[in-house]
Amino acid sequence: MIVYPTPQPYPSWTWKINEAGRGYWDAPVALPLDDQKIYYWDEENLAWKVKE
Amino acid sequence: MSVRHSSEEDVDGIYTAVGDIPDAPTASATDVGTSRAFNNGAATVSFTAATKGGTPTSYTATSTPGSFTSTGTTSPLTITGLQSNTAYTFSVTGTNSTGTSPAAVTTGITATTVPDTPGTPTATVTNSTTVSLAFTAGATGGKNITSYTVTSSPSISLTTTGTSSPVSVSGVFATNQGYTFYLTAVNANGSSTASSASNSVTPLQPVLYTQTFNSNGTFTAPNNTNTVEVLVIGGGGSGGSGPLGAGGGGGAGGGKYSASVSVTPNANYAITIGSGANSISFPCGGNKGGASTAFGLTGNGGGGGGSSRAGRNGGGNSGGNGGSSGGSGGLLPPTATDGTATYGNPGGGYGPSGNNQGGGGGGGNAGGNGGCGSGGCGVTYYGTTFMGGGGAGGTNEHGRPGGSGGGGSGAYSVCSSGNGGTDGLGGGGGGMYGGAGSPVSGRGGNGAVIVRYYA
Repeated sequence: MIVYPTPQPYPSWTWKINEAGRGYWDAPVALPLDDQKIYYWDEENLAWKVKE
Repeated sequence: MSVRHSSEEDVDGIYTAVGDIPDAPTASATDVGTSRAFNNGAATVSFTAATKGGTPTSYTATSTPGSFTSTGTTSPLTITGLQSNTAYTFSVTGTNSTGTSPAAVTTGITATTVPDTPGTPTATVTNSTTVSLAFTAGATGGKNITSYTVTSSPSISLTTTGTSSPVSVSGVFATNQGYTFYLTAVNANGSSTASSASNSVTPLQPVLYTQTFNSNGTFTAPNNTNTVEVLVIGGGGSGGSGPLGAGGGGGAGGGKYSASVSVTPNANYAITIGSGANSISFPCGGNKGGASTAFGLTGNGGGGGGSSRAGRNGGGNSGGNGGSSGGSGGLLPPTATDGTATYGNPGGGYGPSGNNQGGGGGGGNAGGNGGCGSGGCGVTYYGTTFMGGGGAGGTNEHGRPGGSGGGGSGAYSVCSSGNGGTDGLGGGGGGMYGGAGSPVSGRGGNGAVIVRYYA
């Protein structure tokens, strides 16, 4: 049984290990990096959306 | 029934002074109903004394069934303790010192009350503003249940829909707040006592937000957020330049990470983004990138790429060594558990033809490999590789001076180097963006700050 250090943010996110050897919850779609926009994850549509 | 009165004559013609027993009164009953607790109904029994007979000094009303009684001197009498939704008749007698009158019996009534207490509701979240409550209805109390009212703990204004299980309640719930619910049934007589508390549910789950800063700015903490997760990335170093060989790529910006930084709701926090180091066009090592800062965390700039020219060291404060050893790059990505950033592995090593080859800038996770090898990979958070790896090592044809320096890989890339430089110019280090290496040494990419929080 795997014990994750943090709760799974959304059902579609999966646990991965990054290059530094650290685990993290990964979204199915890469996070956009537009300057200073605030994004949230839309689990229903599996997409990042901009907070209005 | 024969009752003797004081005015009556004895059979022998002698009048005898005797006490006079009251005649039976006339009586009627009505259900009280309103506000009566369940199984504690009440009836009002009204009566009128008989015109004949002795004068009663008290009256007693008695229910059937149950034998609930009430005694008094004037009409009406109120009898309590009646079972809800049960038919009753009442007998009324008048009493004086002589005796008790015959009973007058009322027509039947049905005792009604408020409804019985509903069963403990089971709460289920429908959506962020609506909760469904399933329950076992209690007895009506003798009058139809017309609605249910719901209260919550903590208390908020709720709108209830439905007259039978399940009912829906809607309201503006607080984020990440658990609520329990209490039901009361309502009929024409009033409201039942409240049910036991439901299970706790959290209708409005917190949303995970991510804000990325590629330029200086201000982060405003939401009014319901006390901690944020932060990744601070310094600017990338610029590539080195070597007139007789390739310059090394600049190192990636260092990173600092914290899984939990305390913030004050509605407070503003300055975000400073480190610029990538400017390119160079003369034979020396590249420059160090600028540091990024946020929430007291600092991501140092990546080191400059080394120069291929023998005897020249890499540029920048933490730049790589020049010459054949290649540049060592910037900082390693955070180890995440403690957020510690450490210097990266040495950058690219020896080029394929010896000391005329500039090594790649180190940094990233693994550092750049020498020669025509590729730069190190960045580190991935939130599904995106934020820190570019070190620049790729310079390459050169055997025996021919000059060559191309490798570029640093950008933030968006996953383990891919940026554009390589030409004619001995190193590529820029990876910051947010990898820098190209031509016609001068590559400029380092700018740093970035990523803030993640629930609200």
